[in-house]
Amino acid sequence: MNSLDRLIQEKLLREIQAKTRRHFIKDCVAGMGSLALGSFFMSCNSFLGSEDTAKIALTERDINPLASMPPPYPSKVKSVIYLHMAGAPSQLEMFDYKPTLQKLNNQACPQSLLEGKKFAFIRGVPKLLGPQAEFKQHGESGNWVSNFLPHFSKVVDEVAFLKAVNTDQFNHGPAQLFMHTGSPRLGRPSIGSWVTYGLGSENQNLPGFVVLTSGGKTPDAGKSVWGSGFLPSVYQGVQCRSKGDPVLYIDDPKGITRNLKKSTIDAINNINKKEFNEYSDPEILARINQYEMAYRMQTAVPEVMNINNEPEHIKEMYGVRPGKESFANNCLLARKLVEDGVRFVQLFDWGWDSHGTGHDTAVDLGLRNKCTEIDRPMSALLLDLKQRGLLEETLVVWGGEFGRTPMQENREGQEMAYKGRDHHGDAFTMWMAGGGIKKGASWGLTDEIGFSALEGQVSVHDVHATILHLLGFDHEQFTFDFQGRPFRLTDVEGHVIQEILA
Amino acid sequence: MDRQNETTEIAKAYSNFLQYSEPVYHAHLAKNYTNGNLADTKWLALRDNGSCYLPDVYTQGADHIYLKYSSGTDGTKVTIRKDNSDGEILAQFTTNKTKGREIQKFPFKKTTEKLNLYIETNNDRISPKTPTSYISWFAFLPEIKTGNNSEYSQIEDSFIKLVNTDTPTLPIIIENPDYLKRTTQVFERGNWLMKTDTVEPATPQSLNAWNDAWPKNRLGLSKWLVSKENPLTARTLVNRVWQQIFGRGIVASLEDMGSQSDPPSHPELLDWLALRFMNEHNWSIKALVKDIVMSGTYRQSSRNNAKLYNLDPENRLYARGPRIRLGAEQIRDQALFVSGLLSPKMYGPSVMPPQPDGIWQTVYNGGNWVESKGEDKYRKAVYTYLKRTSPYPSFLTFDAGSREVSTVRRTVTNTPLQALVTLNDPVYLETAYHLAKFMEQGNNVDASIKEGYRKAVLAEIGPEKLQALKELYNSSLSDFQEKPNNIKEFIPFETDTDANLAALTVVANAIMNLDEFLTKS
Repeated sequence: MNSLDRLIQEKLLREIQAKTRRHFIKDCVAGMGSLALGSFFMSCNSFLGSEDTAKIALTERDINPLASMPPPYPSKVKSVIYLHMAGAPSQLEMFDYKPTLQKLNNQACPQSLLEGKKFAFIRGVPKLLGPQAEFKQHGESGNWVSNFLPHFSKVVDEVAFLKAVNTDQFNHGPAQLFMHTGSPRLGRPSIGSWVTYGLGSENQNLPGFVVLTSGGKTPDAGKSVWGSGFLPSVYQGVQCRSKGDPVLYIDDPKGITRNLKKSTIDAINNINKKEFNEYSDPEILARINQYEMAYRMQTAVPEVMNINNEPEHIKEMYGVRPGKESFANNCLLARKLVEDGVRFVQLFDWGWDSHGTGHDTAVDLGLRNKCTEIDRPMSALLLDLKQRGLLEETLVVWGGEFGRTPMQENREGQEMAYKGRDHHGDAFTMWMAGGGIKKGASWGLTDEIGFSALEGQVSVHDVHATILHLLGFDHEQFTFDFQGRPFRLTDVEGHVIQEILA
Repeated sequence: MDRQNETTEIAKAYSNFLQYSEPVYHAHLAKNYTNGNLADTKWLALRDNGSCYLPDVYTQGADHIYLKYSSGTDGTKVTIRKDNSDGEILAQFTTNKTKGREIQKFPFKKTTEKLNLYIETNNDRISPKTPTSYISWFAFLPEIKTGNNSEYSQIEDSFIKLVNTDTPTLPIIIENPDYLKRTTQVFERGNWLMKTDTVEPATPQSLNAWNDAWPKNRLGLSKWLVSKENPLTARTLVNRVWQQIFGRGIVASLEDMGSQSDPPSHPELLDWLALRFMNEHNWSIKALVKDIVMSGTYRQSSRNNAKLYNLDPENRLYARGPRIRLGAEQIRDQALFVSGLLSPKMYGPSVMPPQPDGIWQTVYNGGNWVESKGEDKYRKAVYTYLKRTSPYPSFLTFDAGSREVSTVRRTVTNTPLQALVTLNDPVYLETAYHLAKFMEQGNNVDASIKEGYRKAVLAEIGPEKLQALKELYNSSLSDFQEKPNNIKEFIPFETDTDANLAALTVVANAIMNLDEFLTKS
């Protein structure tokens, strides 16, 4: 079958799926006497003895704002796992191999590179710093990975690298916002919010957009990096926590049995149904539905957040640490969440700001430890998704908010005891893996010291356009009207990066 | 300026300085450092043999310079010259070790011209890497002509002591004197490094004309805004009040009332209300609210039916009364009020009512969420401490937004997470318990439930609803009687409880989760 036929067939299939679901819901609400609750999609039990047989025309979204919707175009993936290394990891110790930089180690940085540049901490003339890791080519693709990431080296053929991503922000907060909302200033919806707004969620017992953090701190930009901006707040990311309730207020109060909670919700919904009979306000139906969902969520969330029931070999594969907050746990959780139909899972791991102000932030010491922390879990995530057949319908994105300088940081113009690198947004590395991604690809090339892009430079907007494309959106058509104009995630920019698409 | 006026102006400058610590020249205005830098993006830090320039300084003829700085070393010689390293010396003084940040004053050569200051520091007793001091700002106050007033030095001492007093601070906006006003230039295609045309403040020409008698500052702007010739201000305000009452503005896009906005559903009504608001009510919002809520339109029943709904799902034509969910703050306040817990205390600093552990995570500072005690736990929602990077969770869940940008209109959503808040948040359980205590009528369950329902929704309960709540009461009661330990766990904050009260608390919690409780209709 040629590709056009395949496209048409896919589109037809989507339409049929969409139609039947809509149709069914319409039948369900028809006559208002037959809205099914509990298992909303499974049965159509009547609860209203209403004599009013007129039909209220409702869409599924009127009752449930997270109802799953088909994308406007055929999609490659259904869900996204976004791994964000908060603080900005050093591409020069992980993926972007620069032998020339090694040769120039400890030499003064040429003035031509410094002109017109602004750095967060570098002052005066810094020295170049050679890679602090050893590099080898791996897999059939022959892509370079450093010895800081031995496990990842083995799955390198699954991913496509972007070696020359560019951002115009060089401080963490604005750069993280830019990376997740398409704007360095506060107030725009995050990419996860756009996606759940556009597609809803496959599993109504779990939040559609889940955020997991590790490394002891949340991102510099705060919860705005998973905020919904001007989109309705139902689309904001829900932070699932390792300590306390995984989702706020998900646990029943002490002393309240599950049966009693069921009776409570039944009583509330019974009365709300009478209220609906009187007022015919569809919002009441929505509320009834939300209380049912809340009840089911109370079981579903702790279940999916519990990694103890996973088989030993899986736990071993990720290197999880049950009961602790860890990136490994979060990777395993991410797999479980997308497996259960969560649309967008965002992981933030804190501690990548390798300035060299101490042991933990030295590119040869602390950075190596951080790499060890993520190496096994992120590789296991790819393998685990693959062995379950989920990798083909999931997109995994890895990156930071910017990259780091080939120059050694010299705070206040002084030489520092540890080796560190300053913030640098001109050219850094990200990778993607999963459905629709060209396996083993590498796009973009930096100069001999990894400072600027020589070819294949892509912007943050391009990354966003590509993610939306894989989910079945045209980023230029996907808009929300606010303050008198349609807004896009990619604003007025962005091109799909065809070079890494299969 | 006559003598009297001048004295008043000078007194005002001193009292403003005491109150606002403005106007000052902040450290970040310094340029061209040698042996120095702007430390931590905000302090001027010069080392031995260090220097920098402070451009465009107007001293108003001051005979002193005020400095806010901290220093860990004694004996730094500071020299301030005119224009450059060879310029005339304007001030020369020594700074010493300070206790934290101090404000001190030093003699300064009187001059009335605009200056470029060249500042140098010398201290060969410290290592070349150590900053001599960390300077926050420089300031100049007009000279006080003391004449023969012998008490002046005492007053002067008190002034310095006062400016150095540590008082609570609050960020506010004040207007700078003219000589500190910056030049505003257009950025070429938004690029702040490419400045083009210089522009002056003005109002859009398409709107009401500017009256030249108005000062070109914020006062003038407010006069222009509330001028009766301005067609937008009253309409915008009236529209926002209408939205709060009806759940939808006459122009639905509250934040945008221009050529690209939604058109008004009832343009004549909007104009009538706006004109009345300005001319007859003299901008009284209370009178406006009274107008709206006493209208026949508002007093209609909220009852809907399929015919009405299909014709006009959003009720743009007002064939029925409004029916809208309460806002985040209203939901909290209502629960506290109905339970009798709401504190009427007004004013004062924000409070920190209970929130789950681990919410308040921040990379910027060590600030902690310290739970408020006593009645401060039950203050109106408007007093809750808010921080953009870590908003109060239950407000966020009920669409309050995180205040990152001006939110004129909140989108009302309906989510399971909201149900979890009002069902499980300890704040709501406590309110349920107090409502239960209020509604308890001995062993008369019917009477108790009726009482609670009446208190919560201000209406008599119908037989079917009563039946549903009574069933809930009965299953709760038998549950608690079977497992009496659960009573204590469910109501940990009270010692004198029993199965009856626990069961009524469950019922009260259900009442406070009813659609009719959370919704205005």
